[in-house]
Amino acid sequence: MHYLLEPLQYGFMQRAMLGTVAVGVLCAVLGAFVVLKKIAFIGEGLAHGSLAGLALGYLLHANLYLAGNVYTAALALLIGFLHQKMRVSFDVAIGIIFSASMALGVALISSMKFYTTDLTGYLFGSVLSISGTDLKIMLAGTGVILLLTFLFYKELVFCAFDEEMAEVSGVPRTFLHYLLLAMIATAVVIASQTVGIILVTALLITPAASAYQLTSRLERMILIAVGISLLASLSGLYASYYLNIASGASIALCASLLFVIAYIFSPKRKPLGKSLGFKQR
Amino acid sequence: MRAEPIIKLEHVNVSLGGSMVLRNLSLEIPRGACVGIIGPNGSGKTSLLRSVLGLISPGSGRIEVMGSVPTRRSRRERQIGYVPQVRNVDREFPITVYDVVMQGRTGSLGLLRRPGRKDRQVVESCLAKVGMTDLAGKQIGALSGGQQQRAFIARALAQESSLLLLDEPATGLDIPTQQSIYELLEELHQEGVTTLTTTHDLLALDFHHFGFITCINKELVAFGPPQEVLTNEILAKTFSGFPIPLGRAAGRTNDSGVIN
Repeated sequence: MHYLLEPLQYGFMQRAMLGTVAVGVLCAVLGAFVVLKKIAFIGEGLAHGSLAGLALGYLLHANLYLAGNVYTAALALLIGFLHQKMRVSFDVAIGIIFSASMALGVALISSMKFYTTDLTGYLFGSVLSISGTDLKIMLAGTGVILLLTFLFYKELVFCAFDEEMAEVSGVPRTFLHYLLLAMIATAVVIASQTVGIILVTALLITPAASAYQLTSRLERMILIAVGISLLASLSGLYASYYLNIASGASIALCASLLFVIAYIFSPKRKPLGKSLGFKQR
Repeated sequence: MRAEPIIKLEHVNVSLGGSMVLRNLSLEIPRGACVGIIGPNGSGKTSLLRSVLGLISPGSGRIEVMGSVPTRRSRRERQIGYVPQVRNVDREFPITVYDVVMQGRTGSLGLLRRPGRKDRQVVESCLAKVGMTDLAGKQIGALSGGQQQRAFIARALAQESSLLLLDEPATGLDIPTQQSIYELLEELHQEGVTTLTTTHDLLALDFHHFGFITCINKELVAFGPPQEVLTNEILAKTFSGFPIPLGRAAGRTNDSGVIN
């Protein structure tokens, strides 16, 4: 018990803990839709693309994460637009937009005269240096996204399962598509504060994919994903405190480990020996 | 006075990706009719249904469904039942048959509202109509193709529409399942529901269930009661001259190829 409470005596650890929990829940819920819609690349793309938003925020002396959020949401809508209106496949649209935006980010950063720790924190995550303002933005963003997901839940599920029929039923498919993209963008920027843009996918995809191994009911899948995500985030945070390793990396590693465990115990899978090709006697 | 048709197409032209899929198509579907739409692959059957739904808009001409041009708003308000062609559903999608059928209620519920007791009753009765009550709790991917098709038909029924469009509902299914689909069409006809059912598979088609047959091959070849439309001449024109074996209606045609 002492080992669990000891880190919490520090303010930065309390903020880290709260931020990590928010991000864990948020990514697990949205991750379920990302996994089911098979658009895993979107998290990675938006995370990398958000670099330019950060750099712009820095240059304009705005709050980095607020600027990053707005910029990345716009980026997500642009990807959706390119895909829907220009008949570019979704993967390709992500590839084009994110590389262009990331290039812009790198160009902007290279033009800055001094090295900025803020931006490296963004790349690799800096959960331990979350400020009070950052935390407020994180919690507000998380709250709004979870509320929207709850309100439009049945329509989001309908679109994920069968877009054409959803449209036939009069569901505003295009609006929901853009809404989901904008929510993912915001979640990605929020998550990048704990695990960094390089490892955002670890929180967006891995817990949802792990839960997917364990159940064939969507509501259960989301709840299990939230559980796995929280377990990964908190154990990762403690591991980082006691082992003195980067917190983002340690959270991502915990999430991956949980995926392996979920895979082994998945009722959907054949026994491990069989799927590895060993003959059963 | 003749009743207003439920669907009215006037000189409709539809192009997809630069090629014409429907040419100068004019057609009036009477309310309550049980209509079969036949034509070869690529003859525009699906495009016709999608135009009626308002999912694609005609390049020229006019489409009226239940008295107005179909839009997203009219789709939500009027709820046209639709069973798309059997596609590969995502077999791994974590959703039960019951929840798939409940999706048919989404439109009439509208945004923000959750299903209530009435919706659950409708879903249960639609599951019963297609004989899927026992499988309601199964994950959709665990069903056979025929069972999946029945689940999707139940979802369309749950829309409680007076107009139901079925795109190749019987294709690829075994004879008993096909038969049960045709029986369901007849039941819907008794209830006054207008149905449009497409097929390219004349062998599987049981003409006797239909009040009208529409033959199309990008343009309208014929429209009328089966005994008038299903002649060798019209079928040859519809299927570009190939000799056409008539399915279960075969053997009942006279020398001129007309069904007795």
